[in-house]
Amino acid sequence: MKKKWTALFLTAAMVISAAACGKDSGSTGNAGNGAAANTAADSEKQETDEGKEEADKQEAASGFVAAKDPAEWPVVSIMYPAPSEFPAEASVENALNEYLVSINAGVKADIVQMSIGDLSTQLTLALSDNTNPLDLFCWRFYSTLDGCVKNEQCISLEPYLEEYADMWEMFPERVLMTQQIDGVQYAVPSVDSYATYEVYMLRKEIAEELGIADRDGEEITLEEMTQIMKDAKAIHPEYAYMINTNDDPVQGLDSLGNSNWLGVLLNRGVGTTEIVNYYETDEFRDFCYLMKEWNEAGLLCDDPLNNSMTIEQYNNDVAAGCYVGGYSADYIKALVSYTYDNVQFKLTDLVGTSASVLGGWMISSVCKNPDAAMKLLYLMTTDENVARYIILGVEGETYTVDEEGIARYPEGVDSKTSTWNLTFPWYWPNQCLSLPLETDFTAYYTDMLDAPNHAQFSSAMGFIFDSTNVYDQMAACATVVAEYRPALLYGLVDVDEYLEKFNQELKDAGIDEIIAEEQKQFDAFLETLQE
Amino acid sequence: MQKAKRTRKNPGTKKQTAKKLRKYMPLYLLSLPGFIYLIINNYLPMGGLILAFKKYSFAKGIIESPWNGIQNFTFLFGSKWAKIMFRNTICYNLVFLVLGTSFAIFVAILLSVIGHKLAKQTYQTLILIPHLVSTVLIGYLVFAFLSEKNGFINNGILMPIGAKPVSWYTQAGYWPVILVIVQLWRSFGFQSIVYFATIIGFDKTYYEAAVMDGASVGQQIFRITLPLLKPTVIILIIMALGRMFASDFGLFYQVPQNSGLLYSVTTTIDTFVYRTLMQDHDVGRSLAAGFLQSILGFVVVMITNAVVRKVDNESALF
Repeated sequence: MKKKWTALFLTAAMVISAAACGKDSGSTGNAGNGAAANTAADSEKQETDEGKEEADKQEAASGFVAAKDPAEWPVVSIMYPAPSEFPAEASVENALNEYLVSINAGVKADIVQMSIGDLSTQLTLALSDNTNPLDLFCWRFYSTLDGCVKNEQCISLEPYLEEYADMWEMFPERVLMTQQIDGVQYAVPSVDSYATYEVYMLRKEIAEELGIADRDGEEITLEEMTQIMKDAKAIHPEYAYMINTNDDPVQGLDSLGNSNWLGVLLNRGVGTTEIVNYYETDEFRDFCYLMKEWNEAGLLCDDPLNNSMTIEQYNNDVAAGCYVGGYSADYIKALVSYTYDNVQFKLTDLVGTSASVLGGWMISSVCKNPDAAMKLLYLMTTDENVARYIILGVEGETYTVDEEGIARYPEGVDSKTSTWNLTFPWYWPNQCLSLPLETDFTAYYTDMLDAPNHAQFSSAMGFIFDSTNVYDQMAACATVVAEYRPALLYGLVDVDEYLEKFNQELKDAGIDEIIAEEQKQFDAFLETLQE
Repeated sequence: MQKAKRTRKNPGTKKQTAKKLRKYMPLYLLSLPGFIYLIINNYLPMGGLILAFKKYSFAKGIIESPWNGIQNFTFLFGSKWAKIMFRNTICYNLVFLVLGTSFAIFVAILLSVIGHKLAKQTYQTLILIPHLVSTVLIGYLVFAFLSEKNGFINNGILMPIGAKPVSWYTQAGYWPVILVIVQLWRSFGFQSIVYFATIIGFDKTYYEAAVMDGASVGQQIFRITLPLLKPTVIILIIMALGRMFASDFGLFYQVPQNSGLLYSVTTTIDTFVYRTLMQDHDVGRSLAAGFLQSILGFVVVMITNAVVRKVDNESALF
């Protein structure tokens, strides 16, 4: 009997402790999402939703109007990508909301931190959560415009074209089109230069030893670049001189937003409207031979298939040279100012493609109050203070401004110890409203705005391919590309033998059908443009 | 059967059942958390399987999303990869099953004949360690051996004996062997502990009697241990067959480091689905693949169990 009672007691203890664990982890989960204030915000939101609905009904005809009492304003949640959790969330949120009240915005913000490494899972769940909806999000690092629209994860922004006309006018027509499907606007593009060119960056001390440091900024061909790399290898064999060889601009591609290059425009789409199978072209064959030459000359990193081929290899002293892209020489210098001194050789022209628009902000389909969400998105894109709160945080706390108008980390703080993520300005709708961070290049953002005026644009800028009809072919081709392309582009295999197999398998997987479909849709797109 | 009938007719059954229930209540309670866990994690989510036949819309939710027949399944069969991934998934699983089970039984028997207690415990712990190492880490351990420029096999073995270094991550031919070795290395410890636990539970008098009759160690193994082990082996095999169409994602993705030229021997259903749908967040298609794997696994389990029941009724799982 005693044993039974002991067993009963133990079971009860286990059940209770399991329940307690559940409760605990639940509350930690909330805090983990950086939403300690969420619970309060939620109840506030529920209470205010009713009041807001009233106000909406009254003002429906004249667009979004603020309720009189800020306590009744709807709270709009914004995803905030964070490599790790940033502790300044509450104070940034408070400061931002105080500001929103001061301008009678009619809407408040709730910042929801999401781990950038786990964005796929977190955002997918958040976008299907009806009870605690995420209102504003960006597709960058998560999906594509097409993907989000197909999954019905976002709503159309067409109802807001008139109301926020001043915001839409900030963007060139072709840039807006990159965020449209079938002529329907689904996202606000992130303000950027919309065009880039590529340079080859080489460690300065090596360039000096080679006597070419004074050629900084000069335009060179791939052949000349090959020679520079070989010369550098001869005097410093300990380094690799190239990291990622899988670079669209250097190969002159407008990939139509598809990283597998299943149908591309050559010459980065400038002056051409013919979609081709790049893998079948002589250009690709020659490029593969060149990569083979680079690999045999020891210019590439060791084990490229097994290591992450990013600029980290340059920062970590493995490679002494690599490609970098940007809209101007000063901008690129500022981008890489944190790493080794370098000289840069220009490789391509300044060209914009759809892929140059790197992100777009959307209102989620679970959003309960799209009007309020759009109002906040509008403010994030057009109001300097709102943009700065989100991008840089609170002045004096998370950043300071020097006399040149450059944002600096507070004393004793650097990017690793910062309490707010200042390093992602380009993720937000309008980085140009914030301040350049830790650089000497004061025209960082003004030049960025001017860049499109000097750029050429691909004829496919604004064209978004709808892959529905050839989905299975694209799935099959993607795997074929992943099978062969890396080995070819790192010069690891015999070009003739593998290229032939590669092309045959692509054909078997249906690349011709994909390209035909792309050309059909692209021709229709061009026709609409002419109209 | 007769006994059951008698019990059913007995008017005191209810009382007896209640008494039994009371008697075993602590045990039922003890299993309660496990049951709740099973229901929440393994049964409730099955409702979501309907999404395999729907075009999931984040806006409309699970119930409202429109049906789209078997469209979610077509991407699995539309290319040469269909044959490759099914072949790889099934063949690797069969090889793992046969070699893994034989090797684990072999090691379990070895463990059981070791007399020294401390040695026995040390070996048990040592063989279990690979099972506890994460697959990502195993991927890098393998890379440390196979890296073309810096790996141990090329630098430490092949080059010193004058052989040409091998570019392991671009030569598909070696990988079926490498993957089998890696899988055996990391799984044999855990499996053999299961068999070992069964073996030490056998009645020692069989062995004593056998020794009295002059049976050799080999005869003891083949005449006593293996026959007694058969039901456990069959249960474990049937359970493994349920996962015949699933594969260990880590083993086929992390260990070959997703190297493209190895796809012909490393693409399984799971890695294909991952590569295809990684960017799309296509819930319906991902679910369709998982659904298919489970259904096929279920069918294999039912068939195997039926065959076992026919051949040796005692050993059948159900």
